Amino acid sequence: MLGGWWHKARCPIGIDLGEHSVKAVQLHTLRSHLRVRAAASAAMPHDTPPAHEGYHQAVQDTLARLLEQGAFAGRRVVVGLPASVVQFKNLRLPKMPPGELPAAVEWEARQHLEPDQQPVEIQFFDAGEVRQGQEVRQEVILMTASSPFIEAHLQMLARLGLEPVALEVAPSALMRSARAWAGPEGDELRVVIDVGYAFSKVLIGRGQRVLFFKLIDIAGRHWDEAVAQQLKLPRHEAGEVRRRLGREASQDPAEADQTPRSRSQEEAQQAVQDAVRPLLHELAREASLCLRYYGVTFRGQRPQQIALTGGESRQPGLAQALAQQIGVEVRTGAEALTPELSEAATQALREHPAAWAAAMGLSLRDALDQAKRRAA
Amino acid sequence: MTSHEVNFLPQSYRLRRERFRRRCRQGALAAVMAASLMGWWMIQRGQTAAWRGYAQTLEAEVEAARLQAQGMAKLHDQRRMLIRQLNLQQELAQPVRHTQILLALSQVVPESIVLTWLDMTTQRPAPEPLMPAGAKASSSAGKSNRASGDAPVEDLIRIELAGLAPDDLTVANLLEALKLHPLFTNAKIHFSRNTDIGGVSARQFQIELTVPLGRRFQIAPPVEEEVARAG
Repeated sequence: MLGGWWHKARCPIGIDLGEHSVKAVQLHTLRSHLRVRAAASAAMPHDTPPAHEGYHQAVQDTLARLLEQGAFAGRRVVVGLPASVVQFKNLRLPKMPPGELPAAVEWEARQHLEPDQQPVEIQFFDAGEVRQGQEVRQEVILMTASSPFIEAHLQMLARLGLEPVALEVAPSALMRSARAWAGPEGDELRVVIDVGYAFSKVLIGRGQRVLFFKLIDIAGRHWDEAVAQQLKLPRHEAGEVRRRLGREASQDPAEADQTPRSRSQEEAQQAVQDAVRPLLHELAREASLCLRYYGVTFRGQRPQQIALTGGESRQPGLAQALAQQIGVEVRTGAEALTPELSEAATQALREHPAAWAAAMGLSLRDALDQAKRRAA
Repeated sequence: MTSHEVNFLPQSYRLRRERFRRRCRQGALAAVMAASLMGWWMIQRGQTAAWRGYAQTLEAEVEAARLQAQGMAKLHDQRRMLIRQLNLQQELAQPVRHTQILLALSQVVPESIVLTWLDMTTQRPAPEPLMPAGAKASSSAGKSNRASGDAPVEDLIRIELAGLAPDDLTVANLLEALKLHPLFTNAKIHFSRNTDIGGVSARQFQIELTVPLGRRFQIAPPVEEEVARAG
């Protein structure tokens, strides 16, 4: 690459397709330092989940708008598939040489498919060895995605004139972000809890290896539904109220004190808290179970801290609930992101950097390993 | 499928993309090759033009040399013509007049000798041979040695003189004086015999000599002038 003369490399555009919003970010590496080149986000139309027939058209329109906003360079993109279109399953296989693992995983995956099921694309993470009784087995996180959906996705990208470098999933993108924040050389245990609109994701990894990943069906949409039920509002209006209150609560306390709150605001805040509190505790309990599973399965040490990311991660009370339940320090994305990343970031990225973790991880595909090779 | 880097791009899509990239690379390579060939052709064309220019220069030089050769041939012809004219002029206008010969004889012949007969014969000039129209002068030049000048026959005036001398010594002195004189050549005595003229015995003689005309004659100043100039 010609840009390598200054150790400068432009990363592909990372596109995080969420059910509530689409985020795109492009990073570049300059002398082993990561910087944000462009970032933009746009809200998705209501009620267009990936299963909806108008989903790809909605994504296409949103992406076209979003790419016009940001000063993105090039047409190469790494797209994160929505979590709901990827099926995750943990498999335990007999121990075998690494070269034989892909074929064995594919064979095993075909055994689990229903006869009338649509064709799927298969990927997996090699989580490592686990002890099952007296046996040592190979833990594999199997991922399948519908081939027609992927084909439709590729056609949509082609209509936008984009060149997909990869279609990824949340775990690898989040793992890459975590590595970028902590430094790619670090081999310590990393736990990321990414709270989105449709799902929350619990990721446990070490180095670049994903050891554990689980989707938890408690996230922003469920909080909206709870608030809507509590406040007797339509779901999307309840969501607006919840998010606005969440933004205000995450402001600098000194700044927040200058704007006096009305009694009705405080009542609304309290009502929202009351509505979502059981769900927050439920989510914290699920996350705690995930860590316990990891501890038992991999006989691993407890993590020193947990990184909290995702668009819904600044929900008031969430970090406290997690810290209380798990007993580990919880750092939000704003604290976890390095200043270099947030320095050149756009306003939206600076306001809520944790929401961009997956998009940044997507943009970072290959960049970390390149930076590590250069440093070596 | 890899264990760390996930990519759901179907294999068929990757193959398609790889094929497209390969075609792009091949297209780019073909374009580069075409550009190189074009450049090479342009360079060759430039070189061809240079060689053509050089050839034209050489042709011009050859043409100039041919014209020079033609000019030289013309000059040769003119020279030959001029030589012929010169020869003719020399034949028509002799370098020494008969009176000068008579003057030289009068200075050489002593007063004791009486000339009874003097004959001076000049060769008649050979006329220019008649040539058919268009015939080259060079082809006919060999036919007349005098005209061409290749092997010239020496023009000369043949002189025969007869006279009476008192004795052979005088005749011999005369013959010696004629031989030494720069104007005359081939002085030979035909005979010298006794004769009796009115009771007086004398020697009758006849001498033949020639005056070559293929020379330039310069009349020497009189002896008195030379003496005066020396003094």
